[in-house]
Amino acid sequence: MFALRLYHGDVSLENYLNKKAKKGYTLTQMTPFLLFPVLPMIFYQFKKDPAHPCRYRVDSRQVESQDLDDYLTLYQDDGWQLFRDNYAKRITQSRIFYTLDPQKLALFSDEDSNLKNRLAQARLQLKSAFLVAFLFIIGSLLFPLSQTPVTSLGHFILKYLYHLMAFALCVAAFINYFYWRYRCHHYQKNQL
Amino acid sequence: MKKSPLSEQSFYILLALIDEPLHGYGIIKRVKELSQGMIVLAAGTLYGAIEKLKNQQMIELDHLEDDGKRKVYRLTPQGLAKLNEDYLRLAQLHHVASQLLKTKEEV
Repeated sequence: MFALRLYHGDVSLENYLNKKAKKGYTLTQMTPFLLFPVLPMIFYQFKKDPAHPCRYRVDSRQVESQDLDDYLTLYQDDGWQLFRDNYAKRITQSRIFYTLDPQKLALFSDEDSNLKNRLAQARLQLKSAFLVAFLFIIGSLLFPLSQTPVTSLGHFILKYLYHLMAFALCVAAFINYFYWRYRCHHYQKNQL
Repeated sequence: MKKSPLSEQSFYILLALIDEPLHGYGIIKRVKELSQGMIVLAAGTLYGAIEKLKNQQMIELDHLEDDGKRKVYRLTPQGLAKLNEDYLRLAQLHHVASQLLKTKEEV
């Protein structure tokens, strides 16, 4: 089974993979959709394997290359395998792990680490939103949708579609980032 | 060294390293054993905690195992001192709390 989907954050990616897994689909490959490179779209390949339901988790931690073996071995010892056929790392910079063990629920056993992971995911999403917004602006300069003066709201939306999409993307990413920052701050404050 | 008290999981991680140096998964198993199953550290949480304790110089790399795939950590003298400091703080807290609670029960 194949699927094409717009990438809008690791939380959404994780939920999507788990939803597919519940329907009996196991992820086999992820590649960037290169036909329209301006949008962060990912092409997913799944295989039907209801006998081995996976659970997916996304870790957004930044790991130095010299620490990578130790990091992956620790996760593997704990029952989490790295999903290696991810060729869309340009879009998702996080690592995807999966487990077949129904007892394994999460990569984090405490709320603090979980919130920090969510914040790291939101930070990556914000960076990616800036990049895509920049590409939208370049697109609007190279391929303007309309060059006539604005006559109606519909025309305004059409003329500035690239700008509006770039703005909406950045605002959404900002709200998401500050939401998780607030949650982290609030949690740490309550711990004192 | 940071003066704030150790979290319960950091306390257990340092305790796990008292007897011998351990790698990540060894720490997970030892903490589970010491806490009688009450604390089961997940890999992501432990990795973050190890980074934090390394930065605070409470643990350090002892050696590498399995062709460098596993890092084995040991407790530093600073880590042991912090563990003792927190143990004394908790013992004092336990002493005060038990006296007050006993008095309250008697009333």
